[in-house]
Amino acid sequence: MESLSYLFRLSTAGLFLDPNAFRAQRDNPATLRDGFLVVALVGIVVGAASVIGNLLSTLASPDLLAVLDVVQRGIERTPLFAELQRVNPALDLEPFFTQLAQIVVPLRWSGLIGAIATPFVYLLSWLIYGFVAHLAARSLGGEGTFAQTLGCTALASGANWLAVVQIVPFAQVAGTTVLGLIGCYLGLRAAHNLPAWRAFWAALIGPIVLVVLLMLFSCGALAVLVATAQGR
Amino acid sequence: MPVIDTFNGALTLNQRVFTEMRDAPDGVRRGFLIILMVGLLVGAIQSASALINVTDPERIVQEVILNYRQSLEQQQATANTPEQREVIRLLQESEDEVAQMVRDLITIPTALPRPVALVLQAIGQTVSTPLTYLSGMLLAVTFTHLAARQLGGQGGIRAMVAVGSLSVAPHALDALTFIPVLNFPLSMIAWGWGFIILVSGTAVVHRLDSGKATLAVLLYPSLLIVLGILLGCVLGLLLVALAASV
Repeated sequence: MESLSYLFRLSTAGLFLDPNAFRAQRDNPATLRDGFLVVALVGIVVGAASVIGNLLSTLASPDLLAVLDVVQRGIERTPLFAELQRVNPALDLEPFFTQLAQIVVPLRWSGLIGAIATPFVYLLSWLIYGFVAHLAARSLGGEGTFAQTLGCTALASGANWLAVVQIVPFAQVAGTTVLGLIGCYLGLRAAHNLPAWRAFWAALIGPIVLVVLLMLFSCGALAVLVATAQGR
Repeated sequence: MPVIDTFNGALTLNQRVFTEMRDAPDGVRRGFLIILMVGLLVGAIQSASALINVTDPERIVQEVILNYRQSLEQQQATANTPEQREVIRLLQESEDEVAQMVRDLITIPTALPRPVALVLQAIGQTVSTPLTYLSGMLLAVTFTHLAARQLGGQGGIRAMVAVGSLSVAPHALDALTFIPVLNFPLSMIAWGWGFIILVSGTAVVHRLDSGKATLAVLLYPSLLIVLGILLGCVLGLLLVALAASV
């Protein structure tokens, strides 16, 4: 088992895009194991920070049900609502706000659940991305093994150290995706000895396919919704 | 070279600083330190200013009501049916109830005392600011790097990130944007200064002349703007066609 300080150094080298670290990771005989540990370490620390931040922001925010209650009472007091109720005496906001409360209550815990799932999400996305990027790199003439691809792209997860900022409640994380992609590009270039443009496409094919699939899915869902609405 | 010297060198467009950042093995770390320094300075001052504003709940209520009035006035100008005008009149009569609702929302108790919650929000805003700058810088640098390589540049992305980080230095001026009169001019100066630093940095990293470096910085943003306008037009036409068919 590698020491934590070694794994920390490895991941921060990924965060600061150190080309020597990527080359060393390519030639590391335990590249896959170290890569796995780096992603897991970053995921656990970010997850723990996120749990603390979530708890603090929950404590510092008003209860969502109380907010909904204030809004409902506020709307009911307005002359506009009184006029609408005069026109339609059956008008009642209660069912709408009850339904809204049913949606909002589980949402309160979504942040906490997401935070706990962070290490697993990081590991899973690293494996899926690594698999797609490896196929792309090999088809573009890359020479690296699957273990080298995963080992080098794992360093890119060092960009997720930025997400530790979530330990502060209400803090917003930004920049991890682009920095992570730059890290993956450097990782693939090092692992497969690819020229710049080929490494660029190998790094981007996975995200591009994902975006295209999401767009197709959204268009499909929209078409189904329109068809359903027209069918009524 | 100390970070403060790098910061000053970036602001004065010192070519030696750009070259040194390009070649330094720890250039990215030092670049990120500058972003952290600028971001924390701006974030701390802006959130302190926001904190002073929110300590008086009545001030928040007045701001909300002012926006409410302005929004209704705009809607009144475009209302062209008696029903729309009647709804706007009723909404105008609801001003006191809206103000009371905002007052009630602000005073909903939280588990932590209100001052603690406000301080936590201010700290959250402060630590988020460096990441906002980092994110913007990375996007700009990535697109500039792609364009520079297409224009014959020879630099690497790591050097580009290191030197590109220097373009955040002028945004220290954003710390003064809480002064209402200075908000727009200072933002524009910071943006323009950052743009010039990015052009100079691109020229140094990719060994391009100023013309090509300027083109590299502007190429993809211009394309994105043109694409955005075209997409907006197409969507507008589609919406008009859809509305006409209904």
